[in-house]
Amino acid sequence: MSTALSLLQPLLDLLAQTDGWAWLRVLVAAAFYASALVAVGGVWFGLVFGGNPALDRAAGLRTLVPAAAGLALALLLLQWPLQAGFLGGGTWAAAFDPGLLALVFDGAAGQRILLAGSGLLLLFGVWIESDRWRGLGAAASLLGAALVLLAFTQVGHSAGAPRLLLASLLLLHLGAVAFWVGALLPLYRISGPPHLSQPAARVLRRFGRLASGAVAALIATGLWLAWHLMEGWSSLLHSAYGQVLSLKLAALLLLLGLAALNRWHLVPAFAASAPRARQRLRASIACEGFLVALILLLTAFLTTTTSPTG
Amino acid sequence: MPCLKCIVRVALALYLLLAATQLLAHAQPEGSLPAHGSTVNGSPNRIAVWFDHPMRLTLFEVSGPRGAVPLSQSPGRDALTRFETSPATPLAPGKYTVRWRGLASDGHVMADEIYFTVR
Repeated sequence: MSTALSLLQPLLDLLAQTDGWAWLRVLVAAAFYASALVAVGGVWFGLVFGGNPALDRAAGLRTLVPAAAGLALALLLLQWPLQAGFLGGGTWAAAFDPGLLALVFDGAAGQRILLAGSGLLLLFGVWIESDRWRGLGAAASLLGAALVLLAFTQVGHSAGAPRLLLASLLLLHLGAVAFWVGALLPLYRISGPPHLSQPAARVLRRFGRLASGAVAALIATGLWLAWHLMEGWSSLLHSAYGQVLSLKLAALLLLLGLAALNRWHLVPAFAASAPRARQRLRASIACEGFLVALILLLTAFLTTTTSPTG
Repeated sequence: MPCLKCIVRVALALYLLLAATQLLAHAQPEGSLPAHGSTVNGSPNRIAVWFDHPMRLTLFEVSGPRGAVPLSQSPGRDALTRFETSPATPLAPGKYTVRWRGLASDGHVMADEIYFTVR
């Protein structure tokens, strides 16, 4: 027991140093990641699987994407005074100090606010006007999604050298994550109505095939980024960053297991209208959503409170 | 599905945006004076922290057995690789904590705590 505690000492020290203000930043960051990825992923889902009016209505993207984009925009703007407050010692007075707000904005964080904000506004506005899957609306939605993902590369560990490679890998990683995360709620919804079972089953099977490629890209880019940023694997179990990353990887393994169960067992059972297949599939998708939320929380903790080299 | 040309154009624009972005440094603390975890004989004349890349320090505090320690100098908001100050009055024996926060040029908010003991 004492050996286990001593191994976990870096993580325990980090947790002891993380005050209430830092935890607030972590929660807001996690919520921002989730809502931004749902908005972007909703666009991917609509563009790839849209076109069946009944399924489109059931998926509810017309309300989901603007709602997620609007929430992400609000959380993005909230991060600005929270960062200023943290820099000033964790007080609300510092959060609204003009000098600190200007300092935060006058740098990479400001670039992220402008890029992500523009992208989210584009998603919000375009989706309200039209949910067309092709033409100018689709192109504008793609641009908005691209701007949001690009914004993530402006701040943080991937902004170091080699810049272009790290940012490209992070873009690919986040694109794959958005594809997966953004599909969960629409898939949950379209698998509900019994009269949509067959068209929903076709979408679920097609998603399973496409998601295999996305998952492979997600894992490959994620592992490479982690290896590069930590300068090897030696600190995976010995640094606070590595230990939190290990928890994230463990949650990811569980998520992959669920995804495999869905693809190879639950979706085929659903397509064959097996008894209780609908409820089991939806429960599994809900569990995936919970694990995704946990992974995003751990990611927010990593990016907010520590760094790869400790 | 949107046309392939649209996707290629957006991807190309992204690539150009990425390539045009200036190289940004992720600053790491390299050391401190007194060193983290050290015990010093008598009150230190200098308290310092230095980094491998420029950092804009927004907070630099020292606290000890008698609470906050007045310092001779506070950090400005300019980016620097070394910040040095000294206690306004000699430090009494006991355990001290140096707490700093700052903004690296890659936009990352950094913070750390350094502990030392005065004998």
